[in-house]
Amino acid sequence: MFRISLCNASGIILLLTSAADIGDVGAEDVQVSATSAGSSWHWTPDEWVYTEEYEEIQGYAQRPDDDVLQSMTVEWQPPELDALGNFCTVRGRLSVPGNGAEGRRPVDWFQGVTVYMAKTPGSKPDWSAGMNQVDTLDDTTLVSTAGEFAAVIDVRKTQHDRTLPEPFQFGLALAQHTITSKSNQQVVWDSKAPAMAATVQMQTVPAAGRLSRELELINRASGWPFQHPNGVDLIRAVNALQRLGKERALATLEEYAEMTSGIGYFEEQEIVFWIVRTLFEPIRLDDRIPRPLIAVWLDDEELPPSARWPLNPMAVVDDVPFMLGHQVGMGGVPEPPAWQIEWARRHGVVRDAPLKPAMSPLLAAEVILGSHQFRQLDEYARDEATRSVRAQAYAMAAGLLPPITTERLDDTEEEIQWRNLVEESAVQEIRWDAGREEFVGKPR
Amino acid sequence: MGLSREVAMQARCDSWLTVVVAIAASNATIAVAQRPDAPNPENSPENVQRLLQAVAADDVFDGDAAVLIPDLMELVTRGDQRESDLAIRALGGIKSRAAQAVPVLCLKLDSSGHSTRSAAVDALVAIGDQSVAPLQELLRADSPRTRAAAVQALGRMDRMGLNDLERLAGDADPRVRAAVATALSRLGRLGVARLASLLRDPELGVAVEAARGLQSNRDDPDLAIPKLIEAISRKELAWAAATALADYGIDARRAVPAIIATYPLGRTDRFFGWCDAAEKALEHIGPPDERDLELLCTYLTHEDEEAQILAAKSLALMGTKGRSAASALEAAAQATFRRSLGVQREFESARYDYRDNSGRLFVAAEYLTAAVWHVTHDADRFVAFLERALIAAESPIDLSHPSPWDEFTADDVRSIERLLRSPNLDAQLTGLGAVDDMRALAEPLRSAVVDLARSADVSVSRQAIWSLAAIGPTAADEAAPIVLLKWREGVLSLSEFASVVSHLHYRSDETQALFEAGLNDRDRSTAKACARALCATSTQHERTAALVIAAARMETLDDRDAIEALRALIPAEESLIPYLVEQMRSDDFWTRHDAISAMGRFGRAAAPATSALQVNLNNEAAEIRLTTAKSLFQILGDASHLEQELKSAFDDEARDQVNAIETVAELGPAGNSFLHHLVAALRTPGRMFVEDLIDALQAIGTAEAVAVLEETATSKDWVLRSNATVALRKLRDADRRGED
Repeated sequence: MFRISLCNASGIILLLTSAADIGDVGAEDVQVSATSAGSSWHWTPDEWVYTEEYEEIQGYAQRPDDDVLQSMTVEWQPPELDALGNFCTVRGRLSVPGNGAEGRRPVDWFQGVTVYMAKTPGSKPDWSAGMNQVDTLDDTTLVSTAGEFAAVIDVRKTQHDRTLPEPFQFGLALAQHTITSKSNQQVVWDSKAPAMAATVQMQTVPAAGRLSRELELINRASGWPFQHPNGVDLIRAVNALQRLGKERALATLEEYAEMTSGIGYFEEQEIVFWIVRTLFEPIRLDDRIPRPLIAVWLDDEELPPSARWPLNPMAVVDDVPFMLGHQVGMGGVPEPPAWQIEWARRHGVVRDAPLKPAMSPLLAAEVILGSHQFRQLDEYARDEATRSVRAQAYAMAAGLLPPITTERLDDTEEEIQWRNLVEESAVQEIRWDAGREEFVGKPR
Repeated sequence: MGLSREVAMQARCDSWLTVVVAIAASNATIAVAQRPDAPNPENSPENVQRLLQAVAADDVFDGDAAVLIPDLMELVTRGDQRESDLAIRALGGIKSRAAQAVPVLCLKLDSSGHSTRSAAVDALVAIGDQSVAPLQELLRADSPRTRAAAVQALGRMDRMGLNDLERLAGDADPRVRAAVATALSRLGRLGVARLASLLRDPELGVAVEAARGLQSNRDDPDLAIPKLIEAISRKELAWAAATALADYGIDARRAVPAIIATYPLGRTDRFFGWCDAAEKALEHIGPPDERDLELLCTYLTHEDEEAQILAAKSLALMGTKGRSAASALEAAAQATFRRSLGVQREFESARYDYRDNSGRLFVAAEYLTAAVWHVTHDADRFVAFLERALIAAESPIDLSHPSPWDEFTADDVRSIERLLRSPNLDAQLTGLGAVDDMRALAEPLRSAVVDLARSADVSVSRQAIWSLAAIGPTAADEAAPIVLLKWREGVLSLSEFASVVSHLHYRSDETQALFEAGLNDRDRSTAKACARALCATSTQHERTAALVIAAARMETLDDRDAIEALRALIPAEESLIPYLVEQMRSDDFWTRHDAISAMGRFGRAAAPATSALQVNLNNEAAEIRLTTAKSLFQILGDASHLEQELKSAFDDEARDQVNAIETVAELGPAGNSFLHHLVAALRTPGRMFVEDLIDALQAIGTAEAVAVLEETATSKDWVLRSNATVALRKLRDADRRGED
């Protein structure tokens, strides 16, 4: 049994194991390890470079010369999707020609690789001079001493039709290694690294497994509000769960939390917090849903009770949900979603009726931003919330309003743009259509 | 809203007596009279907005808010949600003069917004008596939200009738039943039976409220406790039932087996981190009932080591009343040590496997071992068992849960010599651990410890030297030559050597010279240890003070470390005062703080420094103000500043409270003037820092403090009771030693 322990700079230890044949070594374990001593990341829309310094590299074979590197081939395994159909895990085994009678032998030296995946099914981007972020996704990883690697790619960023198996082009590029001392190396993964021609292949990404409607809606809402600010997805998820009643709604949230507890997922679990705040209310009138202890913050602790936000860091105005809080850096472990689910089970009741916004999202945003309570927030919180709430309001009705510029605007221009949108939303008579569960306006 | 029932209320009226209430069959519509159009300069829209702004900012409104009542009612009805909520709060602030707004506020009890309903309830409660009649009518409203809010409001005003509560306890809506539970919690003995029945409510939220109700309404423990014990078997409710039982304290002792058997009960509510409700509850309940002893013994071999620990701790609390559990404890301890070793070996080659709980199993075995002492108080039996357990453990055993050694009498101490003289290294180290805990009481073991200090085994020798330091000055003469020898051999660093010598209070020309030289050591921790050793052992105070201050000026020693060392010379060495005055102006916060604190120890001798001290009374840091006030009290006897600082500290956050408790404790008997703060903190529901409070009472030690401890020792809360009992015992022991 080989064990690879990779310690990164923050002390997190990753353990990879592989059942490689270690021949004469017999039952004795061979310790394979490398410790990360720091990393850096450079990104522009045109390219990215990821550099990591490794120390105490042990148990790997000696790095071969360029000829051997060029002779590498990959044996791909069929890509797999996780239960929610969000992440595609692609595995493979790298090998080089063996010595003498030996056929091929696994790559057993310390080697970093980048897996490229085309965004569009059937398309064949040219990776001979590296990848282009417009048409290609990537994941960087290390190869085990058995020549094996695994990469995880977010297929929500591709054009994959979740309902169908579809062919996507995959390829492998080598990271650049600089040996800085006997057991230390610098590894550089670079978007300009060409894919090895022999590794470029079409692989079939399977259809996503079938999900219940509620899970599918939660999954769709899961980037709200910081990845995609359209709160309509949140409203739909809440309404679907509301119809299930308390116990089934909680069981669904638990199932979602469990499904997103694996590698690749991080902020997706936060949707559980936002759903709990919108779907449940405290059984007691003098109680409040506890503020989530995660890296999203709205500081109202020092404010008088009447100026506080009962759903902090959210607010729901006439059934239109908004996030007022902003993302912050935090240390330690964030509160797990299970605790909010536990709160709801112990102290919550499901809202009486589905969310049915009673006004346009832009007017709802105006109610929040113009309120006395909002004025009590500190300037930074107000600035962050103003930008965010306006973006969320616009996203909920984007199809009904003129497109807004993606160029950076100064404060005055931003204000003018927003006022125009509010006026236009009134002209359009934007309102909620409960049957379609979306905002609608006058036919254009 | 269905409109089969109609309520018409005349909104503008001066008292509820003039309100016309017409209630028809079964549903409610509230028609609010139109506000008169007569212009009023005081109720301009600007004034209304200023009032709302004042409510949001918690500012005082500089006008007559009552004049604005009609405008506020209009906003409640027609304003946007945020504005409406503020207007509701503004009406609540006007209290009984806003009675005309009752109908409008009652309408808001059906709002879909939880915070709006909550604000409306607050306002109706604030308005008071004139809300009662309309609220009572709403107990039969069709809307469950309205019914729940009406129960909540009337419950808070203690105006819910028992018949209504009985009827609404069967309401279809869980919010209504939860509100009934809250109201019953204020009803005393009359409410207990119904609360107990609500523990079986199918909606968990209601059952939780019932448990909370029985937690605050403890007027009928004979009825409530068995029902709460039953409720532990309901998986999701167990944590709430145990939390409620905790507040019954020792009266709930029959709950102990159920709590342990059901472990884990669930996370304690509103607590960031993992703390199972079982652990918290057992702390407050204390020892189990003797009738449950046999049952508890069956949990000693529970597959979950946490349940084993809880069972061992519970039995240990019984003291010698649990003697019949000794054999079961011994067997369980040995088996658990073996289990720990087995698991450790199983995962030896998988260092980070989360299933490897061998460490926690070992701790469980240590708890079981310690409990053998607590239920027997038989030193020979205990040490003989320990020798067998050490063989099973294959490692030294650390007993500190709580430490049996703390309870050893002078007669018991000799039995430990068997461990110290044992050829088994683990036994020797375990015995030395016992000496460390017993300190001066272990003096009869001095020779055995000295022999181990001579050991060729460096780890044993080092541990034995520290144990000699723990025994203290009585071991000095015998220990000093060995300690010096081991330092010369390099077994101890200069820093360790200085620390040991400090504890032994050993002084010789050779050690003085070593420490004086060590003040200039490049390693700060060595210089600090040497300074402390010099100050602790010096007979030439003025010279020592000068040397330490010089080292601080040379920056081989931090000023803060220098002050800490020099405290040993206070109050004898008044030459330190100018140095401390200088350090009170230090840029470093804690140096400043410690200098101020040290100054107080001089008492009246520091009177010339008071003006330098007083400037710190206005410091923005509460810690500095508190310490300054304490020093001024010590120097001038003026309690006013300290009284003021303690008052604000006890009203403030947890961190300040701890500082305040420590400050009073540091005053010793003089802290008696501030005893009332400790008593108030101790009597606060949900009190924190119990151990600190009891320690402070013990440190004060006056007749009044003892009276408080004696009263606390009769509390039903085991945490209070046991800590106070221990403190009283220590005070009596100290008195006895003083008499001797």
